[in-house]
Amino acid sequence: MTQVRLENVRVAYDGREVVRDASFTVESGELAVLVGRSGSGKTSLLRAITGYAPMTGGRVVVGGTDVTGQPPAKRDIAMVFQSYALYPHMTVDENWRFPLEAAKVPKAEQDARVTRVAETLQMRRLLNRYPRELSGGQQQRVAIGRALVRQPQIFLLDEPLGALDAKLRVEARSAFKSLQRDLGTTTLYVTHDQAEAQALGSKIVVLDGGVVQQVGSPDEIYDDPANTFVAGLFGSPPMNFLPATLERDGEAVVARSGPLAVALPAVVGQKVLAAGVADQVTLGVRPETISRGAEPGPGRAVGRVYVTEPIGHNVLVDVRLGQELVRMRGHRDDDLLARLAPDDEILVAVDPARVLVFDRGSGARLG
Amino acid sequence: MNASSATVSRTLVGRVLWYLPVGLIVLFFAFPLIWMVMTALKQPVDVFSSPPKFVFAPTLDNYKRVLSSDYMGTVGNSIVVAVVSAAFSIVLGTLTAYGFSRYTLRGQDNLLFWILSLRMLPVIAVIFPYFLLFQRIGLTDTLLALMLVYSIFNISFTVWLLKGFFDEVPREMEEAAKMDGYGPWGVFQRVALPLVVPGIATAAVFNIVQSVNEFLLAFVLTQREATTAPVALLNFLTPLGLDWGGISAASTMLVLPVAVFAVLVRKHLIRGMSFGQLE
Repeated sequence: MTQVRLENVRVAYDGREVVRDASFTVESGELAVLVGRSGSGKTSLLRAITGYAPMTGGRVVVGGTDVTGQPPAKRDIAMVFQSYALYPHMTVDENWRFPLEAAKVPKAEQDARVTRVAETLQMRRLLNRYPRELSGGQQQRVAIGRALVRQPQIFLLDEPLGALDAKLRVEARSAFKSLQRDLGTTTLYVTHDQAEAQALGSKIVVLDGGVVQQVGSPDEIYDDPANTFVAGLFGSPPMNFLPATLERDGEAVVARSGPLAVALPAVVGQKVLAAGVADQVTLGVRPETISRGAEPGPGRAVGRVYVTEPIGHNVLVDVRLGQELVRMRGHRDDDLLARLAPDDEILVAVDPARVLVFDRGSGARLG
Repeated sequence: MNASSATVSRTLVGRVLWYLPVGLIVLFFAFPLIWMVMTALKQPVDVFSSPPKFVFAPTLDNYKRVLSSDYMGTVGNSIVVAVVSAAFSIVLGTLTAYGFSRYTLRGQDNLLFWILSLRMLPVIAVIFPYFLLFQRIGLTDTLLALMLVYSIFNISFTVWLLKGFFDEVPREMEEAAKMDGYGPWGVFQRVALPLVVPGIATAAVFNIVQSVNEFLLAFVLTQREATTAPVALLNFLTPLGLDWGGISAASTMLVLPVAVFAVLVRKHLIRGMSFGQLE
């Protein structure tokens, strides 16, 4: 099996560096997701693996072999392009045979592989169609099929579901996940959609500004983000960021933001102090860790409802807390939450154990 | 009146409203051609009758006269020159256009402009240099001379036309082919080339028409052996006056092979003119 390792990869176009020192590993058989906003350098990074991007430093190692200088055709990598890049003058069958002919696979073996892939993707009856005669979802399956028939060492997918509508995207997503698990081919999947990244990846690589921000499992990325960028990218609705000042209270450290004062857990307090930065920090609080408090106390403050939004079985409540607007998410069955009207007073309770502390300047996680 | 017959009459009216003006426009543009074909079938008396006759007793005398003359040999010359020059221009032009489209060359814009500029001079300005050149190397009155000269004009056109077509082929598609294991030649031959077939068909028709039509260069560069049909038409200008019936029959026979070729590739021609919907 095949592991993909990137070591300090740098990519520059016309002297402008778009990927800086990117290092991460996709383990053999793993489905890793590279996520970042548009312009974050994720496509450039993918192209460095395929051999199309001008690398100015670092190495790409596939299955223990350094392929850095090798031409794309030699790398045994199959890619699914965002545009699908199907050959319009070939039928589905011909599209799939195209890479097999290049590899001089015998005719009988070609037949067998095409049939198997057609079976897997449920495309048997569409084999003689041209791409223009297929729907978007079918074209997308043709693109995946063309990668599958090759039985490559590595799969790369560049926003493969981006052109599909929302419902189809969710279906295709889970279909692809189970397909990848069955095949066990090392896969790197690029997307800008954090929900897609969470749903698919056993490993997530977060890229921003050409720099790898964090590599980790979906849970690690969500619960333990390395900085405000990662924290803000994942989660819907996104994390609340509150400017706060740190105060010592004996052994304890208290973060104060407007009317809200949160006593940080001892471990977190120690780490924040050890970081030795200024007292100005940013608190990160996920909407689902905020609840309605029963009675006043530490970690609680009174705010005013700004707006409520019912979303399915959840309800989002935006609360004005001092200068800040805080969004909380609760269950619709919580009658009190569901019945809130704008300008109602509400006692907001923050779970201190789940508050994250970031450096306000750099955005780096302190504790 | 029920609904379905109302639709029928409405679509019938719609069709008439559509096809009537279309037919008139086609008639207007095709009229010289129709007139030529008709004149070729007329007796000399009918040719000059006034008012013009649209109904007359057809005759094949004009065709018999043309077929028994040495005119058909010059049609052969025209076709050989046109086909060879078009084929040569397309092979060279396609490769050149692909190169310009896919690779960055130093001075690319200047080179492209230079290629275009080959077509900018009026033919009359280069006739005598060509004549002297071919006389010096002993190529006057040869088909080869005409093929070479026509190719210069045709290549220039072909490169510009096909570069546009290659530019439309998405780069990702070629990258996909490379990752599928093909080298530069394989990518060109199996992916890029099949996608510009409409452009090649368009170029072929234009090149052939251009060569078949050409008069000035052929008139100066040939005397007897390599004479092409447009030049040979002059022979119908006799001391006794213009043989309109003969000229029309001769022209019809020159137009026919070109028209047949255009009809054969018409599917590609239409796509060639509405290019851009590759997806």
